[in-house]
Amino acid sequence: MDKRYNDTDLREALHRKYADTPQLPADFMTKMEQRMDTKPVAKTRRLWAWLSAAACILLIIGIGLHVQFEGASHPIAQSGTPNQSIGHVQSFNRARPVAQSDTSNQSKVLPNFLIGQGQSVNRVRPIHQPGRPNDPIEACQPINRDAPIEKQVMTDSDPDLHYAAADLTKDTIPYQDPARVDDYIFQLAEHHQVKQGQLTCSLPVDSSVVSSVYVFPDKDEINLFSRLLQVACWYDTKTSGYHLNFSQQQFFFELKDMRRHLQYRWIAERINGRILFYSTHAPLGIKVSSACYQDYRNELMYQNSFNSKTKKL
Amino acid sequence: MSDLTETEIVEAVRRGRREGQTAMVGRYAQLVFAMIARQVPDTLDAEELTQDTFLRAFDHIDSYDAHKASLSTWLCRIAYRLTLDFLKRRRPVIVSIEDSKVWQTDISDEQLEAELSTGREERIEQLQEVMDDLPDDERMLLTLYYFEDRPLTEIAYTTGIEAKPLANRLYRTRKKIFQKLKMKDEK
Repeated sequence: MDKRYNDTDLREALHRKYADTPQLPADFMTKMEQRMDTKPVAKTRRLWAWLSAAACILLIIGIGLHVQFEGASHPIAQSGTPNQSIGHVQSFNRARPVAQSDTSNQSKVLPNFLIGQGQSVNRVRPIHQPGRPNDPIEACQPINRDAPIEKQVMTDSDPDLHYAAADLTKDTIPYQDPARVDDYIFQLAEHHQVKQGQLTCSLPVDSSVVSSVYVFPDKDEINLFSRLLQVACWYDTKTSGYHLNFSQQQFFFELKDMRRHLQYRWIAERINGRILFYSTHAPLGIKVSSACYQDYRNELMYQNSFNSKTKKL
Repeated sequence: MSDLTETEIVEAVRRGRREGQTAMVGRYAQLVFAMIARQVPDTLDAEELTQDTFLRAFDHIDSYDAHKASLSTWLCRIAYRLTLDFLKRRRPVIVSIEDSKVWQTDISDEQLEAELSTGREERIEQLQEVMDDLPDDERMLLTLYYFEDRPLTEIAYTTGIEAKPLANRLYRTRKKIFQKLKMKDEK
């Protein structure tokens, strides 16, 4: 645990970088004393702490009473009304998995040789509608891995298996089409009238690398982060290339489609009341840089600051 | 400079006595300011954060436990949190796509140490550039470990991360740096 790494280059780089650390300003103590004089006494803080605690308790009691009242007066609503709360997952009718034959898929899948020639994949909108943008948010439910796969799909009665499982194979897990994430986001954006922008994330420009960006308002009614998490949960964690990383601030999701030889990445980040959502898919093995996302974000932030300054003027 | 001992300073601040507060500021302000100024380029911001650190310390002095850490380490802990919060407000944390590839790099600890100890001038200059691209918390971790030469247990207290996950984070950051250097070399 207490092993010391020498990493002399790193040490030297840091010492050079911080060689000119500024000294404490001479008038620091004077300024500090001024602030100490003007600082409100701790009693005020304690009063606020008590008031906050009391407000929280009242809020909890209020919510409790409200839920109780709702439960008593609208028993039907509990089983059918769309609700944004993740806690009500089990009460909704979930989309059922539909076994699709290979022939039905052929119209939607571009042959691999096209991708190899640098063409982007123009996806046809899916016949099976992914969850509508205004559908309630569902929480993750683990896929029953113990049951035989064929039985899971054929019986068409496993409520935990999402429609993203769109094909039957003898694979260890059913095939799940990553493109459905894009479909879902596309519909969500359409529903909330958010425009899709195109980005170029490959240098030199490679048309097989398709990147787009959406700027969603960070509003509770869209609740984008929860929806993205829900989307990520459609997929079995054993799906090839599955990589999910998220926080309150960011969302990162990656999948590979071994049938179409594509890799997918989705990134969302909260910035100043907005959520930037980036989506990229590219043939496997092609390196995709994140610089285009950063450029777009910087450009957007620069525009905002410029606009706000112009407004002030 | 006050002649009060650390215990006496703490006790005086607990009682709300001004000389205790002044002594604490006088003794540790430079240390705290230097730590903050390394991460916050604007001196005025760094100065204000240093003041905030002490004001918060006065308010929360009851939570200070001399058995867990020295007063200076406790102050650094407060400064660390305030600095990170400040930097987060200033620029949102961005996870680079390359970050997700860090664990895919297969390299042993010894190899990594050798790669980061070449003594080559060019490599040191590259590292200075790479350092600017790191997320704030990782850069601060490296500064505490390599520049301030603090032991991991002390950094664990300062950052509020347990020692083992912190050691993993350090390893991961070193690996990320190596990855970035490799990408620079490839370019």
